[in-house]
Amino acid sequence: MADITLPAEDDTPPAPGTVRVWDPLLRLIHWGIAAAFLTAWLSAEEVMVVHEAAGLSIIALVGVRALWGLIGSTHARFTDFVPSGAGLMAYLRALVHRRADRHLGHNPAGGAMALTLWFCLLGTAALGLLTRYPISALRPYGHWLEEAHELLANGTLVLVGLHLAGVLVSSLLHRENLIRSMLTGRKRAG
Amino acid sequence: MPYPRLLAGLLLSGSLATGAYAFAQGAGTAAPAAAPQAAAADLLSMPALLDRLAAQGYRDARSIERKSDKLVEVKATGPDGRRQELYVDARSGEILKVERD
Repeated sequence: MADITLPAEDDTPPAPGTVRVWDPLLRLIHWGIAAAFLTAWLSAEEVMVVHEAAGLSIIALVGVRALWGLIGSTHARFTDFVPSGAGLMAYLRALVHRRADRHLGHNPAGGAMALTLWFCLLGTAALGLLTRYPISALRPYGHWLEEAHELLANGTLVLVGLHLAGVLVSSLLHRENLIRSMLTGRKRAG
Repeated sequence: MPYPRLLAGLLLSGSLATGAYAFAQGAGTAAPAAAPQAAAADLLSMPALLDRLAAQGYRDARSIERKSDKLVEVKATGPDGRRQELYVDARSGEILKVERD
């Protein structure tokens, strides 16, 4: 799959000694999901038209991200970052001892977190959709669906907090700015 | 979990299924979701409804009954002085049907 180039990106010459890691579509989806989740959170039980639009955006963005995880650029692919259980545990053990390896794409913990976040986001949006437009068989459990929707939304918010903590820890450990990398798409080589 | 492609496929199918359901339900257009709330809000009050009928010459209502969230049945005296049974749109106040009482 050819590299997708979006307009108004990468006009500035890349910093020397850096390599392209995150492609433009991946970054757009990342910040799109972040913005949609924030919007959904703030508009919940307040501005339902906005809340619903944010939820629908999340469904679409996660879908495109999953597709991109099959056919996208190297570090976008799920085969590049979905860890094995053993690999994840080994990484977390090394992290506790501050000996975790640096990864150009997702590290095993980051990969596991991204995957968990997407499933939770999609699940939250699906439950919200069912709360709003109940399948007739589920109609008697409408209240239960709403509770589940809120519970999963709260759980996802906790995961977002852990995700940010992970980004911070990893940035400090390897002396790099991972937030900037998700904006520019570039990381220090080697 | 050693099945990255399976997980990507699962996530993609989930998104497509959810998206298809949202589309089928007309989600995002705000119309279907707004309708039930509008139904309660837009109903004419009984006095307002009688005022509209009075403007059309119906008076001395003897009975007024809300049949559903769309229909109100009113027994009143018509412009011709006869007792009539009216079926009135609960939101617009429009007379849908007139019957001899």
